[in-house]
Amino acid sequence: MKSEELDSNFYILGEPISINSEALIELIKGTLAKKASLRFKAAGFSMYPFIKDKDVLMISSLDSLVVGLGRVVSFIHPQTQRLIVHRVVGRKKDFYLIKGDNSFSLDGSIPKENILGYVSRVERNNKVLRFGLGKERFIIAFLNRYFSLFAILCLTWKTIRPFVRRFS
Amino acid sequence: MEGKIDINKIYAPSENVVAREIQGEFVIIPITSGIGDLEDEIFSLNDTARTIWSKLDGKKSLKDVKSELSLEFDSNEKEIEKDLLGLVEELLKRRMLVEVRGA
Repeated sequence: MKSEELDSNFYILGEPISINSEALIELIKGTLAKKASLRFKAAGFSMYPFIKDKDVLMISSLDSLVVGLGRVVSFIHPQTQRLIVHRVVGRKKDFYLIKGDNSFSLDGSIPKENILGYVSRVERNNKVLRFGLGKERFIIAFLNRYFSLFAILCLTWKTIRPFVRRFS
Repeated sequence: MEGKIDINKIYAPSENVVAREIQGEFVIIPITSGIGDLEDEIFSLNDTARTIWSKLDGKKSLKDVKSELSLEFDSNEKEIEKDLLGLVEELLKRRMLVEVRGA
């Protein structure tokens, strides 16, 4: 049975489309399956200050990389099924303890199969940020797990701020 | 390197794209230098293009695809061929489609 006429305007180029969590999970899986990384804009404040709202993230495949302490990973939350990008702060047998740098509580025990990939790059205002993904990530993870990281950072900034002003 | 489009040839989606149905739209994300970039151009196909894309499976020649489209759409054959070749040309240019060699 014949249906409509052929529509010659085939495609929309470059129009922004807003992508929900479920769609982003699909795109991450599809891209990583092709041995490529996915670059997209972050939304939210749970990783402040290391990742801010509208920073551009690159998610790469873990491959043989270890899901180690301090690694910022993208995972599917087992209860909500939503995509989250937070930091690994510990491990319990086959589960990972993950938490946002600006969160007060753990996301829970996350099984490895829920972890899609890791954040290999963060960009802000077209500049690549290094801090938070390098070796300092171990200290960040330790402080984040046992204390409120954001509170520590605020307190530190409050302490050193007068000296920064004096010398600037 | 792609040559001229030949209606007797077979084409298939490139390995360097991620194509998914997302929230009711069919989107294609090119992978360039190992990166799929949602901050760059992404392509959305309308229903017609989506139908054509689904038929470019690496097994059927464009001639076969044209025949199938003639059965499904109420347009004359010349128009169908023109639109089919137009889309294939655009997809080849953007390296979203590749010729299946040796088929």
